Amino acid sequence: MDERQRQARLAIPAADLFKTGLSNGIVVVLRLAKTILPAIVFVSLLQVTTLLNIIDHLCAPLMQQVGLPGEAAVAFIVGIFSSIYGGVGAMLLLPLSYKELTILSTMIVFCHAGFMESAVVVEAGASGLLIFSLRLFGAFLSAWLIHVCWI
Amino acid sequence: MMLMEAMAQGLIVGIITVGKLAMIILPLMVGIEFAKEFGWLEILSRRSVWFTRAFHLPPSAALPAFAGLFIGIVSGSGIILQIAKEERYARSTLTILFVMVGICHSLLEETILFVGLEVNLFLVAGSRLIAALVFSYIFSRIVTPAYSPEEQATDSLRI
Repeated sequence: MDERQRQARLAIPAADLFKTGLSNGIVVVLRLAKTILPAIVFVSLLQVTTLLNIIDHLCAPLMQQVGLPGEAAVAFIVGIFSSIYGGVGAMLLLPLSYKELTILSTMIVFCHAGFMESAVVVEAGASGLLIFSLRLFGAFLSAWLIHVCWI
Repeated sequence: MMLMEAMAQGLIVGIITVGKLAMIILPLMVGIEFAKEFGWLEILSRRSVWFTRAFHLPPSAALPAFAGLFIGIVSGSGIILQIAKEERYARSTLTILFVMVGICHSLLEETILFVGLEVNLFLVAGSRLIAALVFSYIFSRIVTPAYSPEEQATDSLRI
């Protein structure tokens, strides 16, 4: 960019930038609260009603491959169906170690908000199914790698 | 009664966590706003012809790629969709672009979420970025490139 453009950019008041950033931040935090809170309450209800135990047993064989307890599948699934915030919220109540939290976070970060983000991919004109299955595959692959290589 | 207790407990944990995250997210969002205003993304794209070339992408794909990687699929979708439409990308180009951006996006925003939690941030963010680059590189070799490197060489002269 040439010097004139640079001057023009700097001419935007810093206070305005500050305000925009702050309001963007508040939007993110609200969005966060809106999905994290129900997700946490949902998981705590699962815990009380022993439904979590059932999910634990069902998902244990698969999740054990990547070094996670079966109940960790709840956070991953919530993350896929709602958003990354929901996944993080659901993860918070599970009794996980540092290593397990890192693995589960990696999986959630790879593959979340399946419907919303696939919609953008399809809208742009690429295959939503292909991209999503790659994300799912990547989630398990990198989780497995972290699990195996953890020192 | 037990249900109510569990719900209340969940709510308290949730509110505390949201508060902790807000303390981190708010300053960082202000920082991102400044970075956008000073045009760092444009500068980055202009200097990344080597990057787009390596992935068999046209030079114009640098901006949507970086917008996706760092800002996000949903919040950066404005930029991504607009450029994808304007430039009339082929399906193979879009596939390469979205294999990269689909696996790894909002690298700042979504990594910030995990700052307050007990996780290894380096592993979480790093493995994601590496996987996105490796997968899209493999894909760029598999799909027939609509955009050959020779064409790109002439295109980069136009910039």
